[in-house]
Amino acid sequence: MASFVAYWLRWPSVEYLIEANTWLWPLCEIFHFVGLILLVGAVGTFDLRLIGFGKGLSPKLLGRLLPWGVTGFILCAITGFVFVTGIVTNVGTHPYVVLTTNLWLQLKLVFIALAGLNLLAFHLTGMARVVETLGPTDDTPLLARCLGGVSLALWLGVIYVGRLIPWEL
Amino acid sequence: MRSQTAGGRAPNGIATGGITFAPRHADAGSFRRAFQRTDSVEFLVWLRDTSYVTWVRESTSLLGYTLYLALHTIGLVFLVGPNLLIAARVLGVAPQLPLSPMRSYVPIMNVGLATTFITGSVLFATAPDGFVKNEVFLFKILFVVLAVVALRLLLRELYGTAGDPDARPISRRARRLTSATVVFWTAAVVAGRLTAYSARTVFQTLLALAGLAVVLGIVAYARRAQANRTASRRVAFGIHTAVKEGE
Repeated sequence: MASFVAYWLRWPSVEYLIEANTWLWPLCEIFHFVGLILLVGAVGTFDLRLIGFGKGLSPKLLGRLLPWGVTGFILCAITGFVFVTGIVTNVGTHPYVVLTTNLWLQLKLVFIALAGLNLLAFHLTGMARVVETLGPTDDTPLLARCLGGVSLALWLGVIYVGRLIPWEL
Repeated sequence: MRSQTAGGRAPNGIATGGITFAPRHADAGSFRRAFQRTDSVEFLVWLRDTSYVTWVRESTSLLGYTLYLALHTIGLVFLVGPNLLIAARVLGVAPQLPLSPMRSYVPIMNVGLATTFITGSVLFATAPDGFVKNEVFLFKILFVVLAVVALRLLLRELYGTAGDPDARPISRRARRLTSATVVFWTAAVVAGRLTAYSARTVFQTLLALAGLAVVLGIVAYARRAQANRTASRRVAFGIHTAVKEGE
């Protein structure tokens, strides 16, 4: 199993691209940052409204900007994939070793998974539907406020531990 | 010292040819002497070798370098995120969102600005000799200053005059200032990412970005032209109204 995962994690094509084009890595870094700003910009302002900050903006209209957050997430996921699968080229460490030993990368992946579960809970508990019906200055239910707070904390945590990943490579 | 590996970080390793810096820790401690000389290089050396900055640079503690680095990015998000929300409204991405409640984001943006400024200053102090010699970094600072000035002017344009900002149409000046903030922040992020790279890589990356921008521009232009053609064909064949009724 371990050897299969280790085999699958190395992508010679990605490694070759990074090796042959020195600009690819910084270009991915740029889009990783643009993506995180879009993601946390859209999701964070929505979360703030859930918590109760930014009254006057209807959650429904703020929610319509969430596809921009999804765009940001996809940008981050693609570039993040390049970082992990092409890491050998940059620091000479096998991605399997990085994934199994780098605490910050592990924490980041856990936080992202938790943020996903949080989003799932937001829909499964019916909060997503309740919030849709709220007016611009209405208070959000306590549960929606909690879920918004957790989401905001998790995404800021993702940025925090993400920035720390290179320190243990 | 941290190693200069993946992606590169503080450009400690960047050559400082031209200006000669005093050896590390040679004469740390005298703030007064540093200022009396009115010598900026002397001051930067003093700053770099102060005990706290040295600790920040060399400690492996989570309260050291990484704290400032991570908070710098989080401050950036607090500053640019709400800026983008205002931009979405002003530039017509989210035309129904009211402007007046967005005023409550101003304190958040101020906190973001203060955070990035303070953490950025500490990060700068850890390797000032490298940073002042780095043109890409100087460009980043220029773009950040331009973005902040444009943002201030935009906020004054939107909220400076009495009355409800949603009651009046958005001025052309507001639209221009908004576009300016988006362009300057993007440029600042690009320059910030490229600070750690060699001139050759910076040039190649900018070239790749430009190429990508051209491709995306062509795609956007083609899609718009296609939409226009479809619309005019619909009008010509009388389909337009039929489709409208069908909805």
